[in-house]
Amino acid sequence: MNDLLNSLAYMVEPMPMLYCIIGVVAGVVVGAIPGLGGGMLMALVLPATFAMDNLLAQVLLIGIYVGGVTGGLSSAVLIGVPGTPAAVMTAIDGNAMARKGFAARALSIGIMASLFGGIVSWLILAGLSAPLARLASQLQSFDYFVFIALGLILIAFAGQGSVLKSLISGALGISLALVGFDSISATNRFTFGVPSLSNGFDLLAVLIGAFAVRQMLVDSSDGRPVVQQTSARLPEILHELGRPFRHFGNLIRSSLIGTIIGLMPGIGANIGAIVAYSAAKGLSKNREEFGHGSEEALVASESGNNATVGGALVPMIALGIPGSGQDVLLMAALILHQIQPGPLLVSEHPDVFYGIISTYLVANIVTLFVMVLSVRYVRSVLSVPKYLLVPLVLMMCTVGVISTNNRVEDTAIMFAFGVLGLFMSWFRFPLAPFVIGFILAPLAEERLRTAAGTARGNWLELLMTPVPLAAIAILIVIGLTSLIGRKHFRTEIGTQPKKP
Amino acid sequence: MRDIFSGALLTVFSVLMYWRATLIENPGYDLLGPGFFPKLAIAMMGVLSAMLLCVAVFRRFQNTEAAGDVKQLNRLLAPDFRRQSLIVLLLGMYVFVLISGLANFEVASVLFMLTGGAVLAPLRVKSLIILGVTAVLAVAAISYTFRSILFVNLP
Repeated sequence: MNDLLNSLAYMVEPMPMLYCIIGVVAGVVVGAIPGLGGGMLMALVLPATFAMDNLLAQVLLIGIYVGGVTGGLSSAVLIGVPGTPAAVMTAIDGNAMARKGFAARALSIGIMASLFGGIVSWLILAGLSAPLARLASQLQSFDYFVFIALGLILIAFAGQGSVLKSLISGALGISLALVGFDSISATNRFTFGVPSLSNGFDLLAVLIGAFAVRQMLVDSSDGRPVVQQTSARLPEILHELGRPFRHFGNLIRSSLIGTIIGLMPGIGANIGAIVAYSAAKGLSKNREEFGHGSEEALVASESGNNATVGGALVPMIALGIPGSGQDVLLMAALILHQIQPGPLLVSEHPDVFYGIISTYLVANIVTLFVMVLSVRYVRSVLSVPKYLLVPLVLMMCTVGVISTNNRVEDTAIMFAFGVLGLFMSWFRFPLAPFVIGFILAPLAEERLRTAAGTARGNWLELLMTPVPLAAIAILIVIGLTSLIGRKHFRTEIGTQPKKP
Repeated sequence: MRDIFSGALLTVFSVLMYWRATLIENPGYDLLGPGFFPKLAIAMMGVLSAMLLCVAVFRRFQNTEAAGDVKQLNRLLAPDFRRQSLIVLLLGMYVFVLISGLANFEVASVLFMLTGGAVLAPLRVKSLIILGVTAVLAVAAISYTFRSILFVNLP
């Protein structure tokens, strides 16, 4: 408790506060621009964090993360285009409200609901992380390997799109992470005689390529700016800030749903928003208003999507298993500073552990002020044409990769992974399992080899312990639920009358 | 069609990578050896890719009537591949020029921004002027910041 209070006190000092404000402002602006999002900016900023204090680097990145998720609200309400996937449901009802002339009300509800969702998930993050980390520190090597494997499989089943493609994406990430020198056996793997491949693929170059370059290449399909349609004034926004509390039950329920969804690896803020929205619609007395400018819908969507961020931070700091693509970037920033996230983080680096928790709370509060004050300016950012943005960001990605190791050759890795990301986008392969697989593969391999050595190859002895057995049970339940769900879905589709 | 192509490509890739993984020698420092985990991951990828290919082929033969609708839908969803391909090509050339040292960072970056922007910009004089000014100013600012303040060894 003292550690938490100390880190909260540290967060209100000028330097961390400044980094937090910079991060949140940048996140809000980038989050508002459709197609960009906080993840891309985090990848772009990652090389710069190398020279920073490790905690300040986390403050900056979490600021961008939280700001990016909430920032999507502005464009979703004002122009009906979600700045981030997390704002998809917000765009439906938020923009409908704006079109009816209630843009300020929609923004106020979204801003306050986001803060509320963030605070609820922070309470769970603060309460659950340390006990979970202590429990996890008692796990054996094989248990840890099972957790990583389970996390990757859960991502595939719970994420959007094809399960098969998600699993392939994760396996591809794992395979590419194994290129290079194996320190245990002093052997090169998949280097094809190229000496520079012995170092493997540089993590930063891979992340910048997979996130930022890929996003820019995808966005380069058209060069048009986003068109403005409506606006909101500051006094109106301030006047309506208390409105979400008229739906208090909905706020609490959606925030809890978002947090629980966030706890599951790889699901993401968009699913948190969709599930919270669906629950709110199912329980509402005014279901017919959903989709046509419903306040309840907006409350559910915004509190749900923001709460997933706090939930996703729990497995990242307590177990070292990233819950989302953005968490991978937070982990990468820690690894750059020689800090391994996971069960030992709370005992070895309590300042970082509690610093991350405190930053999340402060970033949410800062986001409230930034959102209220920045809405009118965000509108002008939305009009930046892509023909300026795309080449500029691609050039900055290149400079960022070069500056990390002062090595221009890394730009080839960035380019290759950017193109790979584009191919994955064309063929509808999700990116999150790929990057999570890439970052977790070395750790998973090390744990598996240690466990096999300890058990002297007796796999039955390894499997017949509580954690692997529980994991197998979870997998069977998930597999069956998924099969039944799909069959039910197909039956429902099949029974629908055909249109003439 | 996309799934058939990606499934086939990944299956072939997995087979080749698995073959390479079998060539990794085990010096015997640990029980599993350096080849075990790559073989496990690649075998998993290969099996899943083959499954994706089979499912896609099966669906294609089963739903021949719907193939036209799927094609139409894919066409609607498909981004502008030509523009994207040009940007990929330009980025590849930019990276190649930087690595090979054919031009320094400033020249290569201004050219990349101008050509990349021109591919995406509407063909209007005003847009091209804005693009030119932005390219020169942005490259100058980035070059000064990284070379003089952050002491990064830009090519």
